[in-house]
Amino acid sequence: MTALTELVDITQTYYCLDCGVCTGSCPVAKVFPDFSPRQIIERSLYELEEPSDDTIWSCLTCAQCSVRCPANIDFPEFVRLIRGEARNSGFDGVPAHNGMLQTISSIQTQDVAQNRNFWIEDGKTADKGDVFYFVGCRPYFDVIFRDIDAGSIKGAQNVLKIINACGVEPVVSNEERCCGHDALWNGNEEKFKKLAQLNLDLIRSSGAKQVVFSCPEGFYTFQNLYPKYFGDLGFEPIHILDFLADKIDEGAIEFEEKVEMVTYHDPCRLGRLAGIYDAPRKLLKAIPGIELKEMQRSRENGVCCGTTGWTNCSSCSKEIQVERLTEASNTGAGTLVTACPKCQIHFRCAKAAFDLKIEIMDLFDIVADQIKP
Amino acid sequence: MLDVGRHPNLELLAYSEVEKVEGEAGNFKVTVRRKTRYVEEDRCTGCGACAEKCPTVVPDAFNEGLGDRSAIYSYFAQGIPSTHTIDPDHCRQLNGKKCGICAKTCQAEAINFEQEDRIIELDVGAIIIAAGYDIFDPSLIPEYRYREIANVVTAIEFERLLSASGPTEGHMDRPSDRAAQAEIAALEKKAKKSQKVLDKLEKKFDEPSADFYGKYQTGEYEGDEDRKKWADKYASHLKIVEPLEELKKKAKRFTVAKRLAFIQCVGSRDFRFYPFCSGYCCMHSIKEAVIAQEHEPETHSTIFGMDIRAIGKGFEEYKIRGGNNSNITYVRGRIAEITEGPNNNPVVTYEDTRERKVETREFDMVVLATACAPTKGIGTLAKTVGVELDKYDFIKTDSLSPVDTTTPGIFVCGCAESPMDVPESVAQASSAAERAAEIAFQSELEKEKAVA
Amino acid sequence: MSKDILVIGGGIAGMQSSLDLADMGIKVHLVEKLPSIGGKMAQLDKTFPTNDCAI
Repeated sequence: MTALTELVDITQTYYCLDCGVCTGSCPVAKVFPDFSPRQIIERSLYELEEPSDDTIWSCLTCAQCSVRCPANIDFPEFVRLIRGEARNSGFDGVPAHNGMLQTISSIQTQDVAQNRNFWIEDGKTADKGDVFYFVGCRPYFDVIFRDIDAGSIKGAQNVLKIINACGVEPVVSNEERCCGHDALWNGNEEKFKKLAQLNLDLIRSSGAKQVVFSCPEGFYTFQNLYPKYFGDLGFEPIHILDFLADKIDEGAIEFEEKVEMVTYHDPCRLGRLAGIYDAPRKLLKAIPGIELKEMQRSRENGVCCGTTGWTNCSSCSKEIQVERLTEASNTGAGTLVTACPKCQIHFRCAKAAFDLKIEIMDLFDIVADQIKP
Repeated sequence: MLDVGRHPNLELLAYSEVEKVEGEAGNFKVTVRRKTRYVEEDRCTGCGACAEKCPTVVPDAFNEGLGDRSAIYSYFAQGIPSTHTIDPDHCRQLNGKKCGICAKTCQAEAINFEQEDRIIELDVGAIIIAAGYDIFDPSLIPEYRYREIANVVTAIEFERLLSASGPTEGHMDRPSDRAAQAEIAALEKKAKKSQKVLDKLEKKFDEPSADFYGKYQTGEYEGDEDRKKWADKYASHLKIVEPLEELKKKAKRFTVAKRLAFIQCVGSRDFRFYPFCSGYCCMHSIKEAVIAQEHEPETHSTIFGMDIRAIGKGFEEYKIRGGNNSNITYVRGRIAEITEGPNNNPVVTYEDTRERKVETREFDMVVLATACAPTKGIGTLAKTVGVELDKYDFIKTDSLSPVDTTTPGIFVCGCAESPMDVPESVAQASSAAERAAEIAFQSELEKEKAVA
Repeated sequence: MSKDILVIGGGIAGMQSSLDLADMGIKVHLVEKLPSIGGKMAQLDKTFPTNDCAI
């Protein structure tokens, strides 16, 4: 197994102290003992790891292990590379929802006529301008997750409403593609590169200086991963939280009262990977009447929502989700707020399957509803 | 320590800082600022009467904030010199309030609020830096929730809890329980005060408050202003008494900590903070577990770490003895996370790497074996004195001359040089003394030569 | 007369150096920034591996 041995060198996993912090931190290992980051590294170091090892597809790439690793080993990156090798040998994870979402993103690598902007309705957009709103895949989810009331279309509309409220009419393009996040983390670098190139060409030709995201995955992918593969982007990716923060400080946006006790779930991409912890909390507190109750495992210690990249969603995912929602309920809050469309879908799915009481809300849906006209 | 205070060749300049160093080996000119204590050193007898009467309460740094001291204080009971010091940040008099109680109390008339810093100049042949180290701040590790969970303490805090002269007089009282006891005491004081007012009212109306309140709530005394005041007083009294009773009930279940977890390598052997091994923490944890078990025979300690580094004379034997005689279990695995469980118990999650199993265990108290961090002021001191630091901010030395700094005539010993335990510090200190003495005596020889 | 020596820090290392030098007949100035000497060692209850009292 020479290829995997090379990966050990690339990621310097030989610094591993064999301390077990990764496995002890891993939300998957807690419910699925066969999966152990430490043991995957151990097997790799002894050249025993095989591309056929199907536990590698269980990793959530949530980075709970890597932020705590005393040897600074980037385990999610290691897993991503192993997955790439596994794919080359003909192995793959188990796609969720019959692989429909993988197919949708694969189609987008081609020259295809899309109908992406069907959701816009009242929102104001422009054909040219300094600000580009990168909507992401969210509106597509509606077809699949309508039964769990994922509010995918309303979510995109609400983000546009917020951008408009900031006095900006952004460019929204029908030619946008999937950001490639899921493809990359599932080891499909080739697909990621194709999608990324199409997006880069599109945005660069639009002349936009800032690209606004609400999806944490899209934001993280543009801000951290695109430059790794393509160098200088020529524009600035900005998360809507940062975009909004200035406007709120200036007093340009004000909120109606909403009396509610909520708790906030940090999405992995927004929190641990992009380092945005305070902005969503500040935003929630800016809405009069909202009381924020923190879960014990929050911020750096926030637990993943249980699935990533539409792959290997299993009973383990459900167990993680139910545990998380129970933790949220135990704070006394009636609503769990999250800032990631996918976290929202995963939690809503678990809520529906297990008939849990807690409400699940998107941060920007709350914000859009409370903006004073 | 006592010897240092009374050796005829030793001038002790406590509460002082080096401000300037000029010159070279054999001939340094040093400026030292003697910070004002607002207490005359030659008068203060260290009797402590002032500290007893001082009304200001300040967290005690010597006890790692686990106990209190007054604004005029001796650093610790057996401290040398025993001269008391007024803390200018907290003293009422020095902050423009009316007080001066200490001055009135002091029979030796040692208190002097007008006293100022003094600058003194020294001519020395050599300098030894023994500036020590700082305890790594574990709140930098969010997953350990230090400061969030009361019963997660550092090794040095635990040391103060173990100490007979510490805030708990050596009992393993848990910080959460101590906080609750303090709250009980505060509430009791409040309850007593409000009960006094109620007593007067009960006497006036000749009726127990509870009986009256029942009637009042049915609306019997509507419009009666005096009785409304009584009812309000009683309602606020209940707001004190009810949580007090609740706390007292809880306090009945308080026991000393018997299930202890020691977490090794907190900040050490961690590329996020300090990659080096701090050296003494393994033995320190074992020692604390041994002493805890001596204090309370039912104590069981679990030490979590990647390995136990017992390198030193008698250390390995001590480790084994701890396991055999002091209820210590050693588990291989680094703690991934500490959360707070029921009854303020810290809950640790980790992989037992020998068993290859993820475990979650509840303890009464968790002790963090914190890293030996370079001391905060070392950058300024190094600049003042004129020596270089290494990449971690310890004083730079060479492995073949481990007490020589980058500047001739300036030597280093102890944890200012690198993490080390007490025996090593002592050995290095003697070594540094020897190197400094060479210069001291060389200048003597040169002087003799000049005379000849 | 020999030259004086300055020792910065009154913990276990500083105290030991100072005493060694003073015993050799050298005049020592020991500067400690806190009100009392003793350093971290004074905060310790006992020392390993003999469980001797630290103070």
